[in-house]
Amino acid sequence: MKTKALTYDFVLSLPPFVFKVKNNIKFVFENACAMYGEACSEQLAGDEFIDFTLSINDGGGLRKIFKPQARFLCDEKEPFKPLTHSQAYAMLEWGMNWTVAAHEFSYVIIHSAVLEKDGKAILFPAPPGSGKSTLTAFLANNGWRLMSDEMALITPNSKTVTPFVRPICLKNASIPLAKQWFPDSVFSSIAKDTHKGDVIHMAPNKSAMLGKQQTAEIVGVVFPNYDTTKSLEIYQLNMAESYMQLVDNAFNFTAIGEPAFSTITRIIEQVRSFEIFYNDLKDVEAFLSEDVID
Amino acid sequence: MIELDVEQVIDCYLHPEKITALEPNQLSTLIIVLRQQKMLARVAANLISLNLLPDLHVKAQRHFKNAYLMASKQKLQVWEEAKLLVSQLSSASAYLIFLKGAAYSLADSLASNKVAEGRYYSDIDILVDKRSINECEQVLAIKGWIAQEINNYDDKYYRQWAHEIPPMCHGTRGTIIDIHHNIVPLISGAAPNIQLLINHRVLLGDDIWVLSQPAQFVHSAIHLFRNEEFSSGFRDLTDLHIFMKQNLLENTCEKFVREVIAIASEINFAKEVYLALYFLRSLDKSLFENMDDIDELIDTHGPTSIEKYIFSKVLFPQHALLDGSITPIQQFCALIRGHLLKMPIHILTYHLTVKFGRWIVESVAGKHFFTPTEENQKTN
Repeated sequence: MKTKALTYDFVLSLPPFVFKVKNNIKFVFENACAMYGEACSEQLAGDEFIDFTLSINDGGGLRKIFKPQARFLCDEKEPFKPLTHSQAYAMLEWGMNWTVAAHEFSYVIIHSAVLEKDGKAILFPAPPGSGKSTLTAFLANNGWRLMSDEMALITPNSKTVTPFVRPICLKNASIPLAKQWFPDSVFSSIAKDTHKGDVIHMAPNKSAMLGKQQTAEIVGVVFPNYDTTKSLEIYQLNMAESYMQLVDNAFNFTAIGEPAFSTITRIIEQVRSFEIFYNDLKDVEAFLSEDVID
Repeated sequence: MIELDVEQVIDCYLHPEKITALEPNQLSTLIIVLRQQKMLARVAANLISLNLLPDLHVKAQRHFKNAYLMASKQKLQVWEEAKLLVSQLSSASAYLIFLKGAAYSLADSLASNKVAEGRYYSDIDILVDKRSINECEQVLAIKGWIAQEINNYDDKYYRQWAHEIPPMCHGTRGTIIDIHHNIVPLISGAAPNIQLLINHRVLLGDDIWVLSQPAQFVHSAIHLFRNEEFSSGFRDLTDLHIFMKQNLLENTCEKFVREVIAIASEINFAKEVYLALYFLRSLDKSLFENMDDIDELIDTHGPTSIEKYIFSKVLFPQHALLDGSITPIQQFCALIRGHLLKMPIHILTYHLTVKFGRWIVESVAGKHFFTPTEENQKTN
């Protein structure tokens, strides 16, 4: 009789994409269920169109016994070197980001968090370590709708941003803070000692999931910098400064070319951009609600 | 239940209108398979030229457009890269000829070359004078090209036995170039007098040279039928198919094939060209209509039964999602055949011992036994 290795395959229906994930690591499946709820299913619901086939596995072989790894594949392509086994779920999340950034050119994709209120979206493009994800988690639980923690999908030649609702990736010191602030939220298991330090994913809340197909118009761009020494400092950026920073954060700028240029130009010409330094998230929220979206 | 089979994928390439009749799940399988075969943009180009894209599922349209955009972008960039290489190497080598993918794109900029449509490539292949290969490498190093890291066994393989040097990558642009001085490994004993091939070069402008179309076909056929690895086999076969198809449309097919055979015979690679013609004929009979003489030649010089056994499988899409498409025995035979053509048996024995040693360790101990995890790398 043929024995089949244990698998925990699942499908993630995350508009605008559907991922089929081949997987043989149990906790990856458990985490995916916890993070995505109904959007994670074991079977394809009817005639859905699968955009990408991904795999997460433990690498197999003897190494599995004495030093298990986690491998990520997008179809048969392996874009990253393996990570340690306990980082497998985080690797899937990063792998999905890579997959979209490497293949999708129908949107201008900016490395940025996106939050919405009253149909108005604010982009928060920022490098790791700027406190972007902590700010995102705070806003998403204080009257704003989470559209994305990692990437803004912008329709070319418009200010329309399409949500791509995914968990918020929190790192190091923000992990205990988030757990304390948002006791009702769902968290993934911790991926220890990654290249970003310890990492945990926080599930998108109900309002984010309900609005996962609702686009919004960009009304502002805010570059956040968490700085313990500064209570709110706000600088309005000129167009050139804002342009350069947005282009730096655009994953597919060179691939798309001219439409990406005109899209970013339109944004910086039509909405205000700010760089902010802060040590209190409530101050930031007040500034956004009172000054940016009004 | 079989969602999609190899025949259907081939059919979708030959007759793009059939794509519009696929169910959504078949369509998504087709897209995944074509992407892995490096064929997504090529099929997208077919769909676009026939204006069939709007008839497809909106998600499928997006994937085809994405792939087409990527390939078109590359085509735009390659001329600039080519001009730069020409200016950097003009004093180092007596000649510089662009080969394969890059050559198809460059040629397309002047006169329509359908092979370039939706054809992407991971590197730019160039042919330079063997006597000046070291000088070329030094000049490029000064201009910011970095030799890619390979282990010392592979480096020795390149330097002593191959027809090229290890690939170089541009430090800021990330472009990769493969610098050749011949078209097959020297150790194979089959390397032609390269001057004979160079005689078939044509000038595109800006001092950019490529091989003539028949010579491109010959080189492409040699490359395909002396290879040992066929992950791009179908894409390469369709390169040849498009050359033929273009000549068919212009009513120059017979003349083209005769030129191809003449060039191949001149450099002693008629065998590879007949193999190419044979498998093109089995792919698409319409190419050879009213060419009875050529038909006869192909029958006389075509594949042996073992070659038929191997190539009737490895030249066509192989993917886990296509039921029964993966043929490990044929792949293994192709691997052995390709290696035997590359090097004499005593060298091959040594080469395979080294390669197999690592392979065995990896298959027992795990694919990434030798690969450090990111975390280990950081501390090293």
